[in-house]
Amino acid sequence: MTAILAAAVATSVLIAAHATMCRLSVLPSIPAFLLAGVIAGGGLGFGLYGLGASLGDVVVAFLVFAFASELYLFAFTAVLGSISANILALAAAKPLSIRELGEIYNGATMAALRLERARSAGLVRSAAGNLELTPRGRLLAGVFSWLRDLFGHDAEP
Amino acid sequence: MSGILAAVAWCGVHFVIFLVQRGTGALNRERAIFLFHAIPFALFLMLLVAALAAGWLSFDHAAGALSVHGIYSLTFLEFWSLAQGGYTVSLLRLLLAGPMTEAAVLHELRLIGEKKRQDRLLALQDRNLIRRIDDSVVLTKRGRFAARVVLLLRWLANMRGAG
Repeated sequence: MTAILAAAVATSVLIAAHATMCRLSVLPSIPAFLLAGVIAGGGLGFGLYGLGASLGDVVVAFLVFAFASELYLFAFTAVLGSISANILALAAAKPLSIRELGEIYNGATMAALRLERARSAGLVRSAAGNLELTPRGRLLAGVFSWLRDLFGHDAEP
Repeated sequence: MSGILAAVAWCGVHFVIFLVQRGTGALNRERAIFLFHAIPFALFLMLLVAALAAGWLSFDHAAGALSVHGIYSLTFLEFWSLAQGGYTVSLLRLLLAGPMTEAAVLHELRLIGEKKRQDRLLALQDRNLIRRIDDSVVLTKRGRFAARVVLLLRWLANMRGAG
């Protein structure tokens, strides 16, 4: 049980450190999570070394810690960018009219915002009155195409 | 370590089954791919419980083995969802075919956004998380629980504003 307890403590430290860093606005939430993960993971390693844990216990502790951390990352990134999560949060405060929802998720505003983000991330650029991919954008598009092929997203049911 | 090695082998076989199935399009929907992972995860958990009861495995190693499956399934689902197509993926795919005018790109993205909003509302309704009453969206009992989880995660990560 030592390995599982150690992993549980490390996960709690990770969540607390992440919450603190997000409040102090030290880093954006994803880099803050990575830094908190390094701190908690390092603490877990030193703690297990100090306890004289066996290799098997170390492997188990890091596997449980990695799973719990990824579950937390999965949950908070889903909440961060998810339309569904945002609808639930908004409707928790008061009934939400379809018109209000349309104003919050205005298609034209959202499209312009995402295009601006892609431009500032250096993925697209304007050239001769058109938009085109930068080499970085082309590389990322290639990665996404590969992932779509791997997962068979374009296969017809 | 045998439990952990068994988990790695189990996940390997699962991935091979996925590779064989992916061309059929049967796993292209979110619910289908979720069940494709959730059912083997539940089966594997039952096997671990049986192995624990029989004394073949320690509790720690059973937790480690389950974590291997969890890491595999979460990583798979994150990449699957990423490749499925948000705004950025759609934008990059549009422009991969060749340059387009900004107005045409914005038009395509607006259509994607409106479809996403409709799809999300329908999915929330199908999962019995929201109800439509006249022109309003209200939470069901299940939806209120899900909203509390969302609000807790937002509080933890100090998030504000629309996603």
